Amino acid sequence: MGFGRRFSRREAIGTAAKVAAGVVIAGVVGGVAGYYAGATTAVPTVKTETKTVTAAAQTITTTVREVSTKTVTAGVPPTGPVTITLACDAGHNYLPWFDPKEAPEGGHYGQNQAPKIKEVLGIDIVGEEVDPGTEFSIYMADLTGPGKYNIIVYFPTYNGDILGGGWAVPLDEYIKKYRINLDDLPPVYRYLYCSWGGKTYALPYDGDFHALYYRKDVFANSDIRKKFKDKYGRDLEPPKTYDEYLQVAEFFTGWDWDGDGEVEYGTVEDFKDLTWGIFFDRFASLGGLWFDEEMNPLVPNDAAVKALEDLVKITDYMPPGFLEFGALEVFDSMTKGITAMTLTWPDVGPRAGSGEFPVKGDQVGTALVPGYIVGGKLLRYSWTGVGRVMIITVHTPEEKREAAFRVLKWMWDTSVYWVPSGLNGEDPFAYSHTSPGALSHWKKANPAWSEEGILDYMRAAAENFAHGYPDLYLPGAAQYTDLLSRYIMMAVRKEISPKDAISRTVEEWRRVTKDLGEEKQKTLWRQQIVEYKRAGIWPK
Amino acid sequence: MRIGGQKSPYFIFILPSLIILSAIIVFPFVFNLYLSFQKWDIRFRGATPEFIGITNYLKAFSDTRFFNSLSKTLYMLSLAVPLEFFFGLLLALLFYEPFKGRRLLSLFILFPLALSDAVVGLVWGLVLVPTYGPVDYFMRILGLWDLLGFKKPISLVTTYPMEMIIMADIWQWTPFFYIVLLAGLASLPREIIEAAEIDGAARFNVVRYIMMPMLKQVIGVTLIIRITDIFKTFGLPYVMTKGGPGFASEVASLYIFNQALQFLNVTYAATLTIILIAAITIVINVFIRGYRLKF
Repeated sequence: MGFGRRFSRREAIGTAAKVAAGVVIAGVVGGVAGYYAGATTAVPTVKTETKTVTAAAQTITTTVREVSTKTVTAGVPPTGPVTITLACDAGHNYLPWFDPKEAPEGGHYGQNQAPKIKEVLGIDIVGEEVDPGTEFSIYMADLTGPGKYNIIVYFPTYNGDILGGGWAVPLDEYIKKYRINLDDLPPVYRYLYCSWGGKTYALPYDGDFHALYYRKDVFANSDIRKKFKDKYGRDLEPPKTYDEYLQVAEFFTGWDWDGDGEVEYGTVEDFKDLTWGIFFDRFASLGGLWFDEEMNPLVPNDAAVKALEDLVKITDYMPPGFLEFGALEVFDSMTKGITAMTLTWPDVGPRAGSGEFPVKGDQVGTALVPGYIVGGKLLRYSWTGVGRVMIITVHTPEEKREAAFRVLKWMWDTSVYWVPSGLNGEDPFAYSHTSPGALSHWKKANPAWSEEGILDYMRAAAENFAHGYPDLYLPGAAQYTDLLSRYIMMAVRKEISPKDAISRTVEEWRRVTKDLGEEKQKTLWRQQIVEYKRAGIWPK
Repeated sequence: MRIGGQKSPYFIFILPSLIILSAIIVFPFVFNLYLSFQKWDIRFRGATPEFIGITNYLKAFSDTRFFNSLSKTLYMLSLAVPLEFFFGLLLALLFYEPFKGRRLLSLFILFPLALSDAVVGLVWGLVLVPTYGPVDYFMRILGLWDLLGFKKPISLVTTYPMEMIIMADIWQWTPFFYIVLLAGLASLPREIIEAAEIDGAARFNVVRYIMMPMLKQVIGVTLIIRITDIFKTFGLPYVMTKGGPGFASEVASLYIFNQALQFLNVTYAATLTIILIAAITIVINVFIRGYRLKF
């Protein structure tokens, strides 16, 4: 090459153009490759084990999959500045989005995702905390009115009104595009929380289910075990049936079994906020249905009466003021050593695991909810009411919907970080949350919990998933469950008999169905039955 | 408007206020009335109102839950207002004569009035909660649960829900009667009261035969305000009991709230509101006539 050679203007421009084109092409190829590489979650390692539970009422087949931890979508090109408005429960449920105490070391592990979404995806989330007690009216007022929220996080109890009412954007297309693995969800969440009429409209944010918690250390105490055996002629174990549950609760009521100088009690359940749920654990385990295909309520009625009678009996073994106990007071009853058992949400395990309460970590054991012997077989169902799901509202402009979905996907991907924490009220909803791959995150979020304790909790959580039974998802659900709860309370206070309570509920439910339009309700309920059948929990 | 043959400018000056008042008072009432004759299931996207005549009214008049809620409201009215008046009058009479520290003590008495219903409900809920609350604590250490015949401590809010709500309401609104009646007492001509005292009239008789008749209008107006307020009571029962247990403390406005915002039966809720307004109007009119209140 001669250094003395001079280039013509044409040669210089041509060379520059070729170099520029090469850079652009390389950039595009690299960007697209990076986009798909980043957008795809790690291919899950799937170990499949099929369990079949057969009862006289129905056969439940569940496939328990061990799925590796999902990876966060890093390296995805930013979408450009976009603002997404969000509404979510106030207080601790807001922590996965915004948490001022979140820190890489210590603090609240795994929370505060909104700033990270902004940093990586360029999506600015403007969040609003909503009072959970009135969120239904707030959301419906917005959906039927100004439509300012793009994403709302709500209880699937409202699915009938929100999804059935046509207020959510279907997500199937985005789920396919972004390759979200819905097989990671237990059927009850996949089909009942997130779908309506065969389409997927939501992704889970919180996977509520009921579990039985018991004082593992107290149950293991040899003096207490001897005392129990002497009285009842059998070993003290976490109860498998509601009759055993009653017996164990009776045993632990009215004396100081933990040596703290205070009288303790057998058990406690959440009567204040979600009365119908604790009834439904029992009723579903007797083979009960919210409605049959012809919209006959609480079928079979005699099973509903039996469930309520048992619920009334167990209240003799609860602490004073239990009717005023909401979820937090119920959790505290375990973690402050007031009761030996509780039948409640998944939060108790991680709360004990956080080490912030007197009863810590391994002192609390988790088990599958009790059930009933139906036709010679043990039937156990865990009510999966409440929970939370995330949807994109129909008011979200078309051009923002994909960005909104990317926010949902981010929360889906990062859920394995924030779900294990007992501080935020969000509970496991995916098999990957309860697989050994998630263990490291559970340990980081729960320093007072041993590995064995965490694995025990994860196993029990997966078991309760597999026995999950949904809440009532139908327009007017708030009205149906309000009536049921009020009559249950009247029966618990012995104002009316359980039989009377159920017959009045059935009568009122028929009236509500008629008011809302019998044929319309029947059509919508039959759409729900499709999801029940997909989940494998509708009687054959 | 013409006054004395000249155009009056007064009407023009009050016109803006009339327009605003029409917008915030008349329009909502008229819209509510319109809704009460419709059926409109707002939960479904694209749903529109459908005229159904008086069907909602017929439903309301056979709604036992609505009548139960009205009975709870009337129960609250029958206890809360007389007791608030009685305690407020007692305090006003005690504070009528000046004494050292009267002003400071007045501030403490007025404190509950500054709180919102929600805060009052929360505070009373915490005070009454078993195991953790001070009421239960003192009942236990003084052995009062046993004395009253209870085998174990009970939850006062769930056993006597209306009574606890009324107690919280009395705590909050007695200061209202106190301050208004105190102002009324302060405006009375002292010469008449002193003359009666010089003539040897007993204190009780001075209050009964001189002060109370002179305060009649003031008492009447405060009672009307509180009667109307009781019909609107929502915050206390909502925070303390949510209308439970069962239907034990579901007052009228709480039931209407449930119908409108929990069950989304907005047109039925509108109907119940109209009926409630009619009920309040009747009660107030009966009171005004019976009390012979003059305006």
